[in-house]
Amino acid sequence: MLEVSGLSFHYQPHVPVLTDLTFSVLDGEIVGLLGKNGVGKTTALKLILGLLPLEKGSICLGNYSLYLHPIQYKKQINYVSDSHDIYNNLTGKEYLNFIADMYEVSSEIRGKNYTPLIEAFQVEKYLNSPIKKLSHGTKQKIAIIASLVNDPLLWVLDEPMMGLDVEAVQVLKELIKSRAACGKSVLFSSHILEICENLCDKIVIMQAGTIKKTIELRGNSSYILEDIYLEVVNDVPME
Amino acid sequence: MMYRWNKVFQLSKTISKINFSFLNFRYKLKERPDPCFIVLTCFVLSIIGVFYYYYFRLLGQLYDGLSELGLGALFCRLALFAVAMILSIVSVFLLINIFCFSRDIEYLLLFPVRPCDIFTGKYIAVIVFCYVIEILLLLPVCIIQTQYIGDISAIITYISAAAILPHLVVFPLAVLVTICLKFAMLLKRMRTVLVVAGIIVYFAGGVICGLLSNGQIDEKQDLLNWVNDFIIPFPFYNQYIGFHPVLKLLCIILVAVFIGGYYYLSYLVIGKKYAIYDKEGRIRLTAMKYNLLSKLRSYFKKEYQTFFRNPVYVINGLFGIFITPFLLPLSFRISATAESIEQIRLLVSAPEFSFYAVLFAIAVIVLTSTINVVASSSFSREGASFWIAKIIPYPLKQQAFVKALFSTSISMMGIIINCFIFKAYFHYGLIQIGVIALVGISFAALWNLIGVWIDMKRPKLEWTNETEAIKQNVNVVLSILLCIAISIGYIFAVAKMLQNGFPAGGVITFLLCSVCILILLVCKGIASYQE
Repeated sequence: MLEVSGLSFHYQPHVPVLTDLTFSVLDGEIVGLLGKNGVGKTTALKLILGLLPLEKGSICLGNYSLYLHPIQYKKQINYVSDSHDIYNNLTGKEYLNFIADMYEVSSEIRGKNYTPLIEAFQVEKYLNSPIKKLSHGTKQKIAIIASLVNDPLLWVLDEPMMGLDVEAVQVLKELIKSRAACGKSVLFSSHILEICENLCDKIVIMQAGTIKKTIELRGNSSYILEDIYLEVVNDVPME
Repeated sequence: MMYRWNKVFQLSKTISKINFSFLNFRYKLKERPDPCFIVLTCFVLSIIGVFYYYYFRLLGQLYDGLSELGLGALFCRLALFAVAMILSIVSVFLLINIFCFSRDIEYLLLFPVRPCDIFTGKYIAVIVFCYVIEILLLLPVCIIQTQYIGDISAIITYISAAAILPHLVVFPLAVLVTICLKFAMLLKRMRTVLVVAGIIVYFAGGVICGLLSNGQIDEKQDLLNWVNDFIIPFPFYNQYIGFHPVLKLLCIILVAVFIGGYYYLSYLVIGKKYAIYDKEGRIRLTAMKYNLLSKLRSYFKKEYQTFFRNPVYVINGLFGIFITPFLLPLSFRISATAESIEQIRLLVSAPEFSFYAVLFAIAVIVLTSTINVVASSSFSREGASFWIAKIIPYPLKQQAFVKALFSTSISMMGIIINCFIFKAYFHYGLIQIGVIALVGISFAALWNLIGVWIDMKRPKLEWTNETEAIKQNVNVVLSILLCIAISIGYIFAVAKMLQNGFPAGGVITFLLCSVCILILLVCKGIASYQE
């Protein structure tokens, strides 16, 4: 379970990006982070991942705090970036092996984890080519496969569908659902409300660096996410 | 017509901004400057000021020396020749980086411009950069000569020569690079290889022609005539010097002729269509097989693969390491005769001088290994993929140690070459070589740790062209300056010890122990890095 409490952050003095952000992601829960551009979604994800230094607040995953036990914390988390920036001079296979080595995953387990994903995303023929020669979509697929090597307790995805073909989007959706079914958590940010509506158990809508509304979607089909979202972000008082 | 040239100049401005990120310095001035930026600027400016002051003094002494020998007229020729040589080296790097490595052409071709517009824009960007270097180098020369001669014609000579010299150096190289790029486009591969090979053939041809035409100094030919024949800053220089000042000023028109000439030549060579094919560095691997490596080995392997598969890193990173060892025998070859080389070899093996020979070799290795660009750009080279280094469960400080290990392994290659040269050319003994290698590697490890430490603090992660991570990185400059400063401190300390009659073993022990202490201190600095 991920617990984020009292998170504040700013890039420039006196211009806060996040103010007292508090939310949690339960085991087996899929949480979607929504909000306008620039409200601090990516910053929040970066803080959760330890990519930015913690200024105020705390982040805990399972029994480990990011501040006190950064290495144990990082072993339980993995990330798919929205930028497709992975080591361009390595081949796909070398990149997958490198990431597995970093997470101390044994040869047998990495074979077991990687093989079905490589087949599902149909990237086997690209694995021996340098990553710089691959299309954005294929890079993204390799990044997704690499991010699951350590079977993370929390899988963080930033705009994960970007650049993927229709089949790969389906595979990714199934993967997200199957991970939740295994009791692992997924946290992702997206602007595609339809995907959030279909996949998420909980939606967190952010505005001006803080949480504006949390919506429980599990077993509640009466919600029309688009209407709620527009009401929240446009600051229209809700009935 | 005017519209087209306007577009070409706009393109050159954009290309300069893309390739020389330090031009964005002016935006920093508009922002509220932070203390670190102010301190860094003052430090760099003061270093430049000191260098410029000594450069001025050196030129003054050179002019006095030449005047005393009655060779005052040689000063201008020598200065222009030196500048032409420097511009040749600089322009080779600029041409490779801007024409070959930079991927801006892919984005610029999206606009309604012809390839020759972009190529001319790149040519102008190179020329402008050469002008800046030339002004910095020639301005003191011009001031000194005008001061002594008291004649305005010297200024006219320098202005007109300065205007055309970069074109005379860059134009043939740029045309050659354009032809190589055209071939690479037709072959759909080997862009870098063809361009580098073309430049090597060009320079090798030039050197061979020069040697064949000038030959040795014979009895009938005196040194002055030989120097006059050998040192020619540009073709038809002797005729140019004899021109009337007005005619010299009119030579500036050649600048427009060169730019226009390059425009039409590149149009002739490239044509209306241009495309970049990137097939270099294809990696052939056998069947899928997962293998487990320890974190350290895996990270080291990743460093090795990402570095050596990128020609930008290989050329820019290894230049200092592999070229500098050869400068020493080259400088001896130029300045000394065969007899004096034999004398040096005798001194190296003579018991009373062998220790000084070892110290000299150590000083050479220590000073050449301060150019540790591989270490001081190790985190910056990660660029946009730095997030991977931060999310993997491998502490950043341990990653820094692996990076230092990798860059030290590269520095060791340079030290091995140095030792080989000392053995083969200067006939050092095996024990001498052993001591030189041991102390040299210790210093190289220290320089690399310092480089990694500096780059770890504030890596330059935002760049569009890999060259920026190495060549336009403040961390690299800072690291080199700091390492040189420490080296100079060591030279003074050792000189003092020798004056006070310290034994050889004591000096070597002092060097090794103090370097070990410094290594431990830097390691402590890296280990104290907060994640």
